[in-house]
Amino acid sequence: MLRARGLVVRYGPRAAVSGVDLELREHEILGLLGPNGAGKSTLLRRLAGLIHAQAGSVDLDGADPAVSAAARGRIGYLPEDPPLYAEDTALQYVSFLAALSGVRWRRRETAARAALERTGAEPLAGRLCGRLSKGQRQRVAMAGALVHRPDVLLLDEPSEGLDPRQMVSLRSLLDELRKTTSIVFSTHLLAEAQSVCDRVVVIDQGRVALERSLRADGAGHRVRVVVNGVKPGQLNEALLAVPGVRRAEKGICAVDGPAVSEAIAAAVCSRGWRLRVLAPVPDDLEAAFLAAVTSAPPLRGRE
Amino acid sequence: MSGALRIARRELRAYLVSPATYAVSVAFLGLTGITFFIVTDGSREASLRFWFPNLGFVLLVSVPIVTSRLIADEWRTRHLDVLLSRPISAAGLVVGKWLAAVALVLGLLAPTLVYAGFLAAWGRPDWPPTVASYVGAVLTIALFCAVGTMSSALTPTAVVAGLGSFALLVALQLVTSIDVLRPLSFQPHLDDFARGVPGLADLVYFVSGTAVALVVAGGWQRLRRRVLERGRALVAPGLALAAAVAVNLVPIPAQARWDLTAAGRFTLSEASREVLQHLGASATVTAFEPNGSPEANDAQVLLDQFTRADSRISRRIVDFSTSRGEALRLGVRDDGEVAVEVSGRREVISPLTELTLTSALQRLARGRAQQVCALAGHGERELDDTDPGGYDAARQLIEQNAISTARLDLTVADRIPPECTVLAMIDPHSPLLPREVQIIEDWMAHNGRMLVERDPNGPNLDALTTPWGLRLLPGIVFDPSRGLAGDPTSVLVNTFPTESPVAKDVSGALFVSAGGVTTAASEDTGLSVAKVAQSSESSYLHLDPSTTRYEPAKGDRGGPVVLAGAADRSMVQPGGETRVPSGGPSIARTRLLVVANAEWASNEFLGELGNRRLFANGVNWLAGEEDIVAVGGENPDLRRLTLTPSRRTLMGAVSMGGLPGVALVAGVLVWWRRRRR
Repeated sequence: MLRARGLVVRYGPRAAVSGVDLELREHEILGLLGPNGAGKSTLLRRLAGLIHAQAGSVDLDGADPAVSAAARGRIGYLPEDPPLYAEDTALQYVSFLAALSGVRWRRRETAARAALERTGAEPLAGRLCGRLSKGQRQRVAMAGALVHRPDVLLLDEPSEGLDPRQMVSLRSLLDELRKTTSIVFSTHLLAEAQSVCDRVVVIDQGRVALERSLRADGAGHRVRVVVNGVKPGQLNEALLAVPGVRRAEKGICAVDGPAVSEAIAAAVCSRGWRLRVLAPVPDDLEAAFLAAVTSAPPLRGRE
Repeated sequence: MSGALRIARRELRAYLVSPATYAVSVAFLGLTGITFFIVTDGSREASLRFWFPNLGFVLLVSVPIVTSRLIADEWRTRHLDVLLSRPISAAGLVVGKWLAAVALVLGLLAPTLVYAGFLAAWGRPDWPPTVASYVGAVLTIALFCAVGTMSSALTPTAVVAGLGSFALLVALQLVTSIDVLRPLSFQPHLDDFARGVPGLADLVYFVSGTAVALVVAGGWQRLRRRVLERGRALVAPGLALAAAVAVNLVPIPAQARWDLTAAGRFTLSEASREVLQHLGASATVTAFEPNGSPEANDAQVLLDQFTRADSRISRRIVDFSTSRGEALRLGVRDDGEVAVEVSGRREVISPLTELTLTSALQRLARGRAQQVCALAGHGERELDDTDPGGYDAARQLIEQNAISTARLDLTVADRIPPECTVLAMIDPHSPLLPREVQIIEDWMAHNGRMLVERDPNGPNLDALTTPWGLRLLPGIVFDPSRGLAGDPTSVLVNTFPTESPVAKDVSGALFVSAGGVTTAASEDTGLSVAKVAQSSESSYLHLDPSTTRYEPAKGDRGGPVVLAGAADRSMVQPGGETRVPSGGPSIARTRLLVVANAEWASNEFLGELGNRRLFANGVNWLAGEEDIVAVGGENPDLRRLTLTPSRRTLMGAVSMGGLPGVALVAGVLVWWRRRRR
């Protein structure tokens, strides 16, 4: 749906985004993970069409949001620490964003109230934005991002400033939005990404350092194999011979899908070995994240 | 431009709920009110032309405050990302913000229409220039707001944006004093609108300036977002800037200018054109005015009219303080004076108006000087008398027609000096001495020219007038159907029976307590006698002052009654005048103009109807200048504002206190309503 190819964004001599390839599928929630200054926000801004890249392309069903107003009309963008107009009420502000997104005048207020209701900000409709708490502001801004029912939501740190109860609400909102919308959101919180995202992409120093699926059926993509009385080298050799096994080391194999487990069991048994353990390995995102992110110090300057 | 109107609407709403807006409104209306009161109280003219140039200063201070945060704040808070992630363009954003600022400042300007209301209530404003002034103000606001929006788009810091636009606008005003860059200054263009004489160059300036500022603002935002490579992104703003500078420096034909003033104040009158046609020599006009001052600009506008009408006229505008040597050579003593040179002769005039300059050119181009000598010694009206019955206004009119004046008392003088070219006898109260009569008769017999004005009760002057076919009658003209305000002796005259040059372009005149004149046939074959002005058919010349009824039995004469007559004896003879510099027939002229009234040209009545024109025509005809002179109509600038002390107080209270007060109250109400939300 939304695809980025070879994106390079430079600020002066420094590359904030360097050769990023990314694809967002329909009804998918894609998490962007990465340390501070990794380039997540820059990448989101480019995906939203706010800036142009020195190289590479972005297309939303064939149109680049940076040059196509129609494409931008299909995107909802929530920046990090979203600014609001202090002198507007929440309803006025969300209505204004609806107007900018082309929502017709007759539907504008209804759409704004509906968006505020979805984000739990309906009681704030008549309040001045300048007098809202950070969490309240976040919810109003979120309502502004989805008031025009976009096909793609780009959320930069959407859970920032939310209390635990609001974070639960956010998760359920994203879960609900998934039915009609594809979502990219950046976060520092691995647990949040794990609980919400279908897939995560770890960005480090402007590059994709890791891409991993977190769907329920994807949790068995690694399996642990324990066989009695067989040397590790022999076991690895046998496992690598099984179709669908990509890597094997110390009895842990990376496989293409759950069906490969059966092929592994068959292969072990056919050799007369006694299979003691064949089980999916739970995904350890934190370890993978730390492994993927280099030890280089965070990039300086804006993302 | 998508989204521009939506952006504008929200921005305007934000302005209207911001207390800062009302603070600016109070300051704006306070400043405009003070300048309006001072300027109008000083000029006492029913016009805003002196106030509008001051508006430029008020806008210069207030617009940067209004526009400084427009885009800079959005940039600083990164709300710009929220806006531009929507389907709107950077151009739409810039135009929307600019429209909101323009709408707000126009809203601030709207209450100043009350000023025009004062002028309409207590005077007779010239509306087309007033409307043009407001159009100029709208264009100035559009330009200033565009500059402010541009400055706000160039930096994320509102203070820097405000100071930047203020500095730029000040610079645009200061370049007025640099000749080469003067076309880039907004002040002369605003002044042209304020005068009611806007031109194509003014429109081009404001439209191109506004456009280039908005293009630069949009271009910078595109550049910032790297929508294009840096070089390509700079192309559009660079080209727009270059084009704007070029079109403003390239001279636009001055004819592309519209004089909207009722009297065509900035268009040379036919009279001046005639004078220039007969000038017969090149002329240099050097005006001394401070560099870059409004007076220098006014002088330039006026002198340009002359140089365009006659290429033999050259003009210079120099600063007295920097050209003392030049001033000394020309005999100029201060700024505001103008040296006029024709064929080696020179004259210094002040103030510079079309009238004074035309008169000077005419005076210098003449072969000989003209002088009206007003007779004295018998209670005549004096040319320097400023009382209502005096002739000071008439004297000024004569001198504006390049004819000097002098007083001549023949009871003591034994002859009429050779400088006198026209003799004026204005309302003598006692008979002339025989010796005086003899001197005048002799003088007239030798191609003299004389104006005789006498009220009905004056002495008998038949000895002087009857040889020329004219005789003053006893009695007062009553005209019940044409009496002013029901007074049958204040006669409105609309009948000028002959094609006399004296009545040229005169459609009406007012005579008060006038007598009659008969025009008698003469055997003098060279003499022609014309009825210049006469009352209506229903009028009569009444002899018995105790009644007002028409009594023919008692000698009353039925109308129409001739009120003024002109006698002209022109003969071709050696020693006369030639009309054409290269030669032509030599003509000797004797002329007499007799008016059976002296009140009509007094200070009190000269300004009524066409009296000024009729009087100027008469004097010029006597001086033999009727074919080249017609200066002497109404003063087109004169649109008085009648300010009584109570009106003055009301005007000051409303303009300096009332309007800013309303803005203050509105601001407090807005704050009060929103404080609990």
